[in-house]
Amino acid sequence: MAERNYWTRMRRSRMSRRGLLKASARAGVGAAGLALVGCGDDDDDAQPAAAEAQQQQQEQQVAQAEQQAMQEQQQAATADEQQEQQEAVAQAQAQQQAGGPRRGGMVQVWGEDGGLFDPAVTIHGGTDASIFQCFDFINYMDEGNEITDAMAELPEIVDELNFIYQIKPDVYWQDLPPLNGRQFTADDAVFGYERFGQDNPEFVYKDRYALVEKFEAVDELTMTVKASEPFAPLLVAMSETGALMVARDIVDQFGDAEVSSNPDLVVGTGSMMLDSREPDVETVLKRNPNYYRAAPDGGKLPYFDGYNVIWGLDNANRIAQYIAGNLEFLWLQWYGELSEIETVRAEAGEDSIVAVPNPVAFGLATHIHVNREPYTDPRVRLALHHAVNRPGIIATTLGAGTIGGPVAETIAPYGWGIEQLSQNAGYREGAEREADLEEGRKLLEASGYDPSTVPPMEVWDWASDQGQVLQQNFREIGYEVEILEQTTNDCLAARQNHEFSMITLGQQAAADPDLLYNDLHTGAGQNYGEFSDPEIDAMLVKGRTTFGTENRKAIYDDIQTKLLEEHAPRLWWHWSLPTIGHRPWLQGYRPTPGITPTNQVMNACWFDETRPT
Amino acid sequence: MRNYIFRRLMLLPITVILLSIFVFGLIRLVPGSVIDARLAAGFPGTANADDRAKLEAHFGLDKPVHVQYVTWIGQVFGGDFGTSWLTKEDILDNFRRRMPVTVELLVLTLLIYIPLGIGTGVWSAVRQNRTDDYSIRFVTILFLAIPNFWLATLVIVVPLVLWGYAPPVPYVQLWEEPGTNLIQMIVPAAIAALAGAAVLGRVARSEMLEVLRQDYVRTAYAKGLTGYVVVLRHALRNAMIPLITLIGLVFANGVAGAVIVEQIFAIPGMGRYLVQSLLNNDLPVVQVWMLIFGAAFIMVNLLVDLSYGMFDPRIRFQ
Repeated sequence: MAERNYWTRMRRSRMSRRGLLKASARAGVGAAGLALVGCGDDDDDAQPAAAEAQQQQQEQQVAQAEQQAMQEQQQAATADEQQEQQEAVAQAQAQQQAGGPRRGGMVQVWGEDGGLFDPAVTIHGGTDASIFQCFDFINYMDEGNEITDAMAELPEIVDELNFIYQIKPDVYWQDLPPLNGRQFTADDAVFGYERFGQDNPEFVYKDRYALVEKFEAVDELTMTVKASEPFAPLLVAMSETGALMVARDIVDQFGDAEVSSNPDLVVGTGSMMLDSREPDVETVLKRNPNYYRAAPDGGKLPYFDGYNVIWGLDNANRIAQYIAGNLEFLWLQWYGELSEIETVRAEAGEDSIVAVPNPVAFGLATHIHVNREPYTDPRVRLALHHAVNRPGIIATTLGAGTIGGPVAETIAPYGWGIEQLSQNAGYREGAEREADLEEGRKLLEASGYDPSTVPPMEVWDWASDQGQVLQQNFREIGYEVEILEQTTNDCLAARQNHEFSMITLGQQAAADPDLLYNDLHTGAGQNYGEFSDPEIDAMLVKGRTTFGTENRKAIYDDIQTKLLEEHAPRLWWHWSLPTIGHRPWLQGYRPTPGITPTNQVMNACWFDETRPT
Repeated sequence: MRNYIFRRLMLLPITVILLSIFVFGLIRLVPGSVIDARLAAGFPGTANADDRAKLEAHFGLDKPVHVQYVTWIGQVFGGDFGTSWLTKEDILDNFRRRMPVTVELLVLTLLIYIPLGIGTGVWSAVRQNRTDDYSIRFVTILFLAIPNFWLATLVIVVPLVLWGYAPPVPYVQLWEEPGTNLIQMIVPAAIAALAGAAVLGRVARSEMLEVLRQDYVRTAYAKGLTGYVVVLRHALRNAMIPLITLIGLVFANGVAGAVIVEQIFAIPGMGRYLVQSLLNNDLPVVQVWMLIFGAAFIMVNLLVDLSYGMFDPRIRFQ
């Protein structure tokens, strides 16, 4: 049975290219027929033979058009091209509905001013997110979690170790010193990627490219990438959040420290240029007139003149500013997001906000330290896994999101959706949940754990309600655990230092299921609970060295099954799709799986005529 | 008096050093660190012990605590406040930019706090047990009970619901657009002042009631002075000593209030800087912030002590 989830539903709603061509052909022939009828005189009933002949002619034309459409479709080079064309058609339709893209307008948004300006460093709270509009990707992950071309075409895959990127010839650095609008070359791409791997303790992406043996510019516009061993997620890593290109000229001249702290050195290839910046108050971006991407009408992207980024609005102030018409976007918190939308709609009208689920999956999970009693026994962990009432927690405390498995549903096609997860113990409801609870009790009894030595469960203070429900769930199988609420910093410190027995905390999904390697492989950096299993280790290695979506999906299905049925090294129970709300006059917006790819999406957005001036 | 001021000023560096040790030690007792935050946020980071060690060395956290302290305090007394671990911005530059914003907020807070607090207290005392006294007492207790963060949120929400009005953003400097700046600042200042004014009002009322029962007040009335002169010139002046002490404390309250209202109203001042730094374990900023405001608080208290002599000539400083 096919899995149903947000993404499959979204894909289903698209018209296929073949369908579109057929419909176009029918519409064209129908229009021609109507024109003929309209142009004819009133003696149609006197000439039935002529009408029949005309109908036959129309049918022939339909058949011919369909045949032509099929031939055209067969000529389409690759599935990727077809998808691109579908998207272009969908976009064109949307534009047509909205009266076509319009140029101009400053986008009013808010954010948190981190004060750092180097994409290689900025990942945490120090990020000045507005600068992402000033830089650009070689490739990026689009809303369907697909690698998409940006400054380079999609890579040519020579074999499992070698990839060739062709840089587009019309990409230029912004016309600001010291680059002064020179062409972006393969050398720049090589420098940009190699820089991530430099021995700088502040560079957070260095491990992404650890398995790359060599980036090389073979000519002005061709970069080759040679991996030291097969690494399936490499192309994703080349396109993921933060993989933005910084210029060698600037780094050589000013140094890494200056690049990350001096906004005057924000010179990239992105669609926007940094115009002015008042720390903690406002950043103004203006349109880069030499941006390489072209609009469907032949003009240049982006459509907007620029951005006013207002820093640091408190939650209430942010909603107030949106309702008062001073903001275009409302990036909503992943808790209570629905209530915020309802607030806006109640105060400003039903049509005041378009709510779009964003595939940046955040979630909540309970980490278990498998080397601390009583969790050394997998039966205890599995018993708790059986006890968690995942739909119940979400319904009673979160109000949004979905039950979570080891791989987030947004990591298509590897993540499991509700239907697939619901077949597993711990995710079921009704009578099946009762059976799961009974199984949990049996597992707990069989483990022979000592109830008097159960250490407290640390709970992130943002997830206080969820912690209490978890506590109640565990109680249902006879497992009593105290709750110890901790601040974010305390939780991060405990998790980072592996100083916990069980801790409930947030988690973030990546774009590839290889995230599980970092989470669960013996000794991996994010294996906070020190889980170790040779079989799982081998499967995780196989997952990252096997190519082909179907092959990899089979591996990750096996891994997820084993984790849920045999090990339960972590209690995965929630993934949230944060909601982005925007003004109805903002057209062309599509959600993206990361923070930084938003720049590509926003480049193709525009304000329609309903925007108040 | 000169000797007194000299002695107090001489004690200042010692107090500041003790304060610095306290702040430096206390902030390190807080679990978590900027390194934890960075490593935990690495996405999909595979940070290991080696990365951690490198970052610790990078921030100088690999050295013994006393060495860290001596290095830091030496730099501070040398005028080098260091840079933020998070943003790498110069802390002194940040202070220079943010301090006028908070000072403006504090001045506006005082301008509301003092007249409102003393005015309501005096009026309430003079009109004891009448309707306006009861009303003032009710309102002051109300404002004592209402947390200012809730009041601040209410002040944003109510005009929005009633008139679709939201406070203007982004923040503009006083010298750029004075009108807009005052609109942005007056409401936060009022909110920061209200709870303090309620306390001041209640203290002023009780002090005034005590003074108004004194014989010399009765004498003043008996010799034909108007109520206005008796209350403001004779009674209030004698009630001022505890009020001055309380007004001195408003500096600390004002700073605490600024931390909250700056955050809610997106005012880029010192309070907001502290919150951002605390949330990110940006220790150099927090340390310098606490040190500067600690020293400022000590200075304000010195001024308060010196002002006692103005209101009561019997007080002599030795």
